[in-house]
Amino acid sequence: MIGGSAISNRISILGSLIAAFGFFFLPLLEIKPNRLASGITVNLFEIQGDLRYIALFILALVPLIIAFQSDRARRAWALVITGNLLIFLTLLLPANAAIDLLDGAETLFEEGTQISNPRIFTSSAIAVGLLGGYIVLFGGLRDLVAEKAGTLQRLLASSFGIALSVFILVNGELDIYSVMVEFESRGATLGQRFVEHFVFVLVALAAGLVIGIALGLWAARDERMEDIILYAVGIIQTVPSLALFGVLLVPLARLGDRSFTDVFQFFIISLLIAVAAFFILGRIQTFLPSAIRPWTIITSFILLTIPVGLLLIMGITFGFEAVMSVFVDSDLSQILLLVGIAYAIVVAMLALDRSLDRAHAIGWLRVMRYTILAVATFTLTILLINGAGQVIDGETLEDLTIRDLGVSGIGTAPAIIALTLYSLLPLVRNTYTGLRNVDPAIIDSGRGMGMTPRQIFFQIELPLAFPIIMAGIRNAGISLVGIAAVASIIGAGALGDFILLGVNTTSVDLILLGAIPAVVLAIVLDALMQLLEGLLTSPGIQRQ
Amino acid sequence: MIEFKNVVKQYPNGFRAVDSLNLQVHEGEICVLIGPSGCGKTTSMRMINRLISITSGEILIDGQPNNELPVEELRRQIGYAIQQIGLLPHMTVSDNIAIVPKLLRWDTDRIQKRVDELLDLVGLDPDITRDKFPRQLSGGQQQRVGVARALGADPPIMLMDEPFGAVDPITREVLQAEFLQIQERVGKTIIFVTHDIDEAIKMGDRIAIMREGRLVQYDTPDTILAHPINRFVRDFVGTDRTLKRLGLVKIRNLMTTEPPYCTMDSTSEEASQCFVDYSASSIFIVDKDDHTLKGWVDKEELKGNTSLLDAMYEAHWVDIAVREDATAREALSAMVARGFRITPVVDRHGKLVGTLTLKALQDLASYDPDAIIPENNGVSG
Repeated sequence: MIGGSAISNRISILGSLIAAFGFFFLPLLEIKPNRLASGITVNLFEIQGDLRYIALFILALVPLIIAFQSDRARRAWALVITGNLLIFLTLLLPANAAIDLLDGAETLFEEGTQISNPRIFTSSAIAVGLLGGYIVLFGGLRDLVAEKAGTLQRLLASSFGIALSVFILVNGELDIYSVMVEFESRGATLGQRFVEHFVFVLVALAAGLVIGIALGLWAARDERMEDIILYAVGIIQTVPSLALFGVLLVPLARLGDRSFTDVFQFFIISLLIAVAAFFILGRIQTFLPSAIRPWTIITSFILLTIPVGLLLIMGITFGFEAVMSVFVDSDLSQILLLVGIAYAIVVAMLALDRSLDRAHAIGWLRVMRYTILAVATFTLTILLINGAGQVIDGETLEDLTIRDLGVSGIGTAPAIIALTLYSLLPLVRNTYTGLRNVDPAIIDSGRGMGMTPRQIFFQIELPLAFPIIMAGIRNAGISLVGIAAVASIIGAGALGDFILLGVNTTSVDLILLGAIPAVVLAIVLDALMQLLEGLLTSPGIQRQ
Repeated sequence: MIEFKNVVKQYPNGFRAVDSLNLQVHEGEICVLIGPSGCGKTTSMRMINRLISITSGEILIDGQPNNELPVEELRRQIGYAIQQIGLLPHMTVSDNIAIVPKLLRWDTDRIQKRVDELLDLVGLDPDITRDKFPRQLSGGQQQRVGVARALGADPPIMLMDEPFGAVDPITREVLQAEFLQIQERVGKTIIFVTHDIDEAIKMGDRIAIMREGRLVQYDTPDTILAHPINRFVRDFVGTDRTLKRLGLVKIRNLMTTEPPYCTMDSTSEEASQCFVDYSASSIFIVDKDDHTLKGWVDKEELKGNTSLLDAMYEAHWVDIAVREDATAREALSAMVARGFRITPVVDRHGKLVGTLTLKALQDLASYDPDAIIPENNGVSG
C-alpha cells in the first residue's frame, strides 16, 4: 500500500497547509475606526509583536507531522484533537489579540482620523484557518471511520471543537468581534427573524408535502397525468423567485380586496364546474377522436386548478399567519409547550409503534398511543384556533375580506405561496420515483394475498418509497431555507432582512448575522430529518 | 375442487389469452399448468383469485363461482406464491408470513404460533429466522419463506407461479422434494404454473398442457409421456420422454424380490448348492447377520476355487447395487455405466432386497402405461 492513504493522511496534510498558508499570508483581523469606514488589516505575525499568537501558526503545522504517523488509530485521534483545537483556537486567540488591538486603537490610525466606536472585523485568515481546521478534522474522522469507531466516539470527535466554540461564544469571549456587537444590538430582532424564517420553511414544507405527495401519487397512478404533473412542477422550478413574486403580486392584491363571502361563493361554483367537467370528460374519453383526448385532460386539469389553487392560497397563507401568531404572540412557555407536544407525538409514535410490534398482545399500549395522539392533536388545534382568532382579530363574516386572512400582494402571502411552489419539484418527483420504484412483483404478491388498495399503499408502497420521499423532503427543506432569505425583498421579513441590509450597506457582519443562523437552521433541519428518516425506515431496507 | 367452465379471457385489442378453457382440478392434487410462453397458463391461474378478470365463462371453487365473494376475501382464502417471491423487504420473516392471518384478524398468539409452525414445516429454525429481514436470507431460504407465507392462513387452495424459479438448479431440486413432502402432510389443492417439463413431471399429479390459450392435453404425467395426444405435446415433452417415464417409476415396483444369494460364511459346497437352487449364473454374497450386500460370485469362478471368499468379487454395495427407492431411470443409468445386465437392489442400509434386470427396464420403456402402477407419481418418500 505504498503511497496509499493507509500510510499517510493526505486530506489532513491539505488542511494543515491551507490553514498555515492562511495564517502566514492573509490578514487575520481588520480594525475600523467606525462600523462603515475602511480599516487596517493585521496579520497573525503583526499582532503587537506578541509571539503567543505564533502558536496558532505552529498548531496549523502540527498535522503535517501527525499525518505521517502510520498507526492509524493513534493518528486518527491526534488529527481529530488537533483539528478541533485549531477550530477552537482560530476563534478564540484572535479575539484575545483583538482586545489589545482595540486598546491601542488611537496609535494605529493616521493623525486626524475620527475614531468613534472602533470595530474589530474577522478577516480572511480566520475563515481560511477554520476551513483548514475543519479539513484536518475531516481527515481524522475518515481515519476513525476506517478504524470502525463507534457512533458515540465519532459524534464526540466531530463535535467537541464546535461545542467548545459555542461555549466561549455563550461565555462572551467572542463579543469583541463586530458581528457579535451587531448581535448584541439586534439580538431581539434576530430571534424574531429566525422564528419567521423557521415558520416560513415549516409551513411551506408542510403545505408542499400535502400537495406534493398528492400530486406525486396522482402522477404515479395515472399515466395520462404523469407528464402533465411532472412538467408543471418542473416549470415552476425554472421561474426565478423574483419573477414568481412579481407574478403573484397583482392577483394576490386583487384577491385581497374581495370579501370572504364572495370568494367563498366563487370557490364553490368553480369547484362544482371543475369536478363536473373532470368526470364528464373522463367518461366520454373513449368516444372522442384520439387527437383531442390530451386536450380534454389538460382542460379539466386547469379547471380543477382554479378552485384548488384558491383554497390552497388562502389556506396556506392563513395557516402561516396562524402558526406565526402562535409563535410570535405567545410567550416562551407556550412555544416550549408546542415543542413538547411535537416531541411527545414523535416519541409516542416511535416508541409505541416498536413495542406494538414486539409485544403483540398489549392492548393498553395501543390505548396510550391514541390517547397521547388525541391530546396532542387537541392541544395543537386549540393553539392554532387561538392563533387564527388573533389573525382575524374579531372581524364579522360580512366585513371579513381576504386581506384579513393575510392574503395581500406583498409580504408573507406571495412569499409563502412561492416557497410552497418551489418545494413541489423535489417532493413530487421523489414521491413519483419512490412509488414507481416499488417492485411490481411485491405489489402483485400483496394483491394476491388479499390486501385492499389502501392496505397496499400504506403497508407496502409507502414504507418502501419512504426513504426516497424523505430524501425529497430533506432536499426541499434545505433549499427552502435558502429561498426564504430572498422573500425579504417583498417585505416578508425573515433572515433575509439582515442579509439585504448588509448587502446594501456593504457590511459583512450584517450579512453574516443573517447567513450564519440560516446555515445553522439548514444543518439542524437536515440532521433532524435524517434522524427521523433513520427511525422511521425499516432496517430491512436501510442502506448498509 | 376447482373447475374452469368455458373460461375466456379476451383483451380489448381482441387478443384471446385464454380460449374456452375447461379444466377440473381435484381436491388435494397438484395440477401443473404448462406450455410455451404466451400460452395462457399464468393468465388462467390468475383468474382463479381474480387478479385477472374473466371475460366469459366461470370458475367454480367447491361448486361456488369465484366472483360471489368480495375479491379481497376470496384472495385471503387462496395461498399465493410467485417466482419473484414477493417478500416484503421492510418486514421481518415473521411479519411476512403473518400477512394473511393479520388481514383475517387472527389474534396475536395464534399468529405467532402459526408462524413458528410454518417455519418448522419449511425447514427453517424459527428462533434464528423469525426476526430476520428477507435480504438477510439466501435465495433458497427466501423461497421457503414464500411457501410458508402462502400457507399462512392454511388456505385449502394454493396458486404457485414458478415458485422455485429464482434459485439455482440444485437448490430447486431440494425445494421441490421438500415441497412434495410438505404437500403429503397438508394435502392442498394446488395450481402450479411452470415452463419446465421436468418440474411438471416431478411435481404434478396431473399436467395440463396449454397452447395459445387452449388446453391441449390434461392427464397424469405418465399418460402424457406414454401417449402424447399430438405432435405438439410430443415435441413439448421432448424426445427423451421414454427416459422421463422411467424417471416416474420406482425400482421397488419393478424388481424381483427373491434374489439369488448366500451368506459370507457359506462353504463352497453350500454356495454351489445355491447356484443349483436358483439356477443362476451368479449369486450375491451377503453378511450373515444383517444381510448387507458384500459382493457376488460367478459360477465359473467358484469351480476353480476351493473357498467361497477366494472366488468372490468383493465390493461395497454402493458401487454395485441400486437402491429400491431410486427411479428406473437412475437404475438404467447405473446399469449402463457398470455394464450389468442384472443388478442387485438394496434398501437404504445396504440390505439385499431384490434384483432388477435390464430386460425389465426395456419392457417398461416400450410398455403400455396402463399396466404400470407408478408409485405416487414419482413422489419420493
